[in-house]
Amino acid sequence: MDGYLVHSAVLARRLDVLLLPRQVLLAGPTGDEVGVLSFVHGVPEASTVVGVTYAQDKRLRRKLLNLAGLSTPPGITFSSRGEMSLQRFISRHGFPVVLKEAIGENPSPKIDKISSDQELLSAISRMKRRSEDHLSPARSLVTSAYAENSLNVHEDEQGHRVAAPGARLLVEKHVSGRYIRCLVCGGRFLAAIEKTAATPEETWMLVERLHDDFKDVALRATMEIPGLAVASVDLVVGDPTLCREGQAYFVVELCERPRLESYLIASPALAPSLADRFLCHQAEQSSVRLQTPADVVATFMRAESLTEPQLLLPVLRDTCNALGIVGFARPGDQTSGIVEGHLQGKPSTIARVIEALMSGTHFGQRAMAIEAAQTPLESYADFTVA
Amino acid sequence: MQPLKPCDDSVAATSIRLSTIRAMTFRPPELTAGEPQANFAIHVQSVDSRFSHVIAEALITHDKGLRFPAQIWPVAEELCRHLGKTQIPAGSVHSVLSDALIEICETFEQDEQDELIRSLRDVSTDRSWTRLLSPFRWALGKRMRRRLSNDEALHKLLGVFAAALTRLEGTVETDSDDVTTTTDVEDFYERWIGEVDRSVCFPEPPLPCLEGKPANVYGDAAFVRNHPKDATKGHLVEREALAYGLAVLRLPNGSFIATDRAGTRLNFKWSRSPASSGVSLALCNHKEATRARLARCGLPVASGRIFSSDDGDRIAAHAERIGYPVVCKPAAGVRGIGVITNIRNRAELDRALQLYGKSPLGSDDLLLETHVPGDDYRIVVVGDKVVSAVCRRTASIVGTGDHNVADLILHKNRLRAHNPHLRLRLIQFDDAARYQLDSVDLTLASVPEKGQWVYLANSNNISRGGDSIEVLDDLHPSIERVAVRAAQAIPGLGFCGLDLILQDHTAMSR
Repeated sequence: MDGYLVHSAVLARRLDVLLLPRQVLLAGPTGDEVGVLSFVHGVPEASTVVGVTYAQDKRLRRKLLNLAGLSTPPGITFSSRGEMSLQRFISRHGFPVVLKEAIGENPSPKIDKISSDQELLSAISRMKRRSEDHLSPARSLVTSAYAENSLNVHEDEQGHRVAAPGARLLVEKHVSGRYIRCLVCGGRFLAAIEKTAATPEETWMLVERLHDDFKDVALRATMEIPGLAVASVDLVVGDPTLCREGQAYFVVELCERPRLESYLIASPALAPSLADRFLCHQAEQSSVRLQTPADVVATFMRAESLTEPQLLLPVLRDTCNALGIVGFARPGDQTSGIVEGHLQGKPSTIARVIEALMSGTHFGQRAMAIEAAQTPLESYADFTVA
Repeated sequence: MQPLKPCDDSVAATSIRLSTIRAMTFRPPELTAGEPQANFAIHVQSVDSRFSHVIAEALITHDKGLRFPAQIWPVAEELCRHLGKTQIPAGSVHSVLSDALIEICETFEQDEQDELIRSLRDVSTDRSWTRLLSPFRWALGKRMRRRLSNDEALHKLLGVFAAALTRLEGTVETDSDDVTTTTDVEDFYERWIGEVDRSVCFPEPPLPCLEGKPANVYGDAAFVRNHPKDATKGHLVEREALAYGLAVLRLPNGSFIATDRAGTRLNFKWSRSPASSGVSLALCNHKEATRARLARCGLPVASGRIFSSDDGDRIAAHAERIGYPVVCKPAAGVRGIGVITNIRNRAELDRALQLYGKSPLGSDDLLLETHVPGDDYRIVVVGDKVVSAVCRRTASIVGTGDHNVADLILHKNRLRAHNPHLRLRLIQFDDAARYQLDSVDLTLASVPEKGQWVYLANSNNISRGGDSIEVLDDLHPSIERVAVRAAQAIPGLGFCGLDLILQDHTAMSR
């Protein structure tokens, strides 16, 4: 979602785009170099590789937050060889606890409300399993493109592929309170939302009144991980409208990806504007002047490395017509699996089609590179294929 | 390749002269019923005995588990060294062993102490080392006393040597309860090569060299050798940060933060640094993304295409279209995992795809591209400067005419273990190595001809046991310019290791 929303913002600002696998987006003003601006999963170039790496390493992250005097839930990381320290932690802090991967995606995949030794053992066993996503980083829609690889796997007695014995997990004491997610970009606090119901589907609402103390916590937490231009900081707080003094609070997550999907649930208008803020921040960093956003744009699109370009064309036509995109598409060089054409419509719908072509989620085949260069608007009645 | 010597059953030898002797320990075995149990073995070879090869295996333990008692390993090493130069008259195996042991024990402690202390002095002239040497000397002495007082394990160790040698001279036909012997060398190495923990071989194969020049030895190896896996990179950067007068906060997992007097913080983890963006890593981690970007910037790249790994027919059709030989590699692979080069025809492609399917990334997308002949170079660019250039050679061994493939692999791995960065990047005997050995009709027990290069991996990666040869001083300036252009083609990339295939790194890039 982050990549798609930033992509929409980039097209709306009439920038040329080169999209590469795993949501790598290079952009630049027409006539300038495509690549003067770059993003991955919506994370701007200003976030350093080591910044995103630190954010994905929960042990490191916790250590830095604690050194800065920020509160995290009591927790411990352990490997298969660290059973004793886990037992000591449980006897000291008791249940319930939350189990997370010590290194990996943010917000951390977790198993929560663990309330017994038996449940903990079962949770550890499940958490150690390695899914197809772990072992297919090139095609995974879940694993971040900059994530540390987790190829060190072996099979357990049941034939499951599991993490190597040295792989660490994190157990944290379950903490109670209101769950607040804060978004920070370029050293500025942008927005806060609150998780509102314990339903299977996440529900979020905007937080109108967040005490400055907690805005400050979100900003400081982000600053403690050097090299993060954007961060989503999750806090558990007793009352977010009151000051920090006299109440417990915990930083429970610090995510290098903005995770705009949760902001989209809270406010459909807010999420696109936040994506545009990321773009503006990166443009400022890269000294690129942006145009004002347009409602309708026209692009010349060229998709490469499609396995069956001919089969794609009718599906592309129907999809574009359903989404209100006009223009045309035609096959290019078959050896290189090329389809090209004009797409004219709302930036968000064009971005949606291009993202789907890259991920293969809608069209059944994936492109490995798509260029979308801005062109003047034309008069098309609908979308056609040659 | 030299064939194994056939057994000569007609005579028992009057004396034995060992041509080669090896000892090795294995990682703790699984206690699986019905299977041979061993954590120690010796392999003796002679040209003038009833059998040309005998291997004796045993489980030698102490009271703390199945691990071979580390303190008696140096005794095994010294026995091998001693026996490797001794003529053993018929029927005197036990007395020769006994004499050897007495001789070893008399000289052992002082020799080892002196050598270790000398090596520590070599790495530093710092006076503080003088103070550190006293407790070290004491600890060493204590360890030696423990080693030689472990009588039961030592007794068993001698039993293994005795069993091998008596079987070799033909005076014993049956195994004891504790020691198993075999002459099936191929089966032995197939079973154990992946489990070898320590090993020694006498006479030792020569040290690796290239065109007469020996491999580099680093004086600070003793300081860094005990770092955990992958920590060396962070450690080297951390040293530089300290040298620049920065304050350093050391963190887990090879990470640290360096801070200057103004409070500016720079964080590092392994070779990940603030000089590069997350986007640049994401782009460089995907081979097709990198290829597409570099091609657009006018840089020379191999022609290739991404496929699902189960799309065999399309892959084969594409290989026909672009022409053999081709290379197959994971789209987002690391450390050369799953890379298979120089696939010359459809049959090899089918086999390569099977091999790919069995690799850890076997279900992920693969890149099929034209095989470009030439040597493989890793060029490191920082900003707009080339700071390092190495030629990477596929994991290989060079025949001596005396040592078998297993000897040479183990010897080279022993040397690699001295370098903390290479300690866990050893030559592996895996499917790729089997593929390479099969292709030249060799096995682990084969003795390659003197000077014969034998390759043991499908890619040149150092992490697959490959070798690196520094060539920076000879690199043609035009190649440096291409490397810098390539690094600058990736937005946000402050430094990178760039892989190039070159015919000649001293010639102008075309």
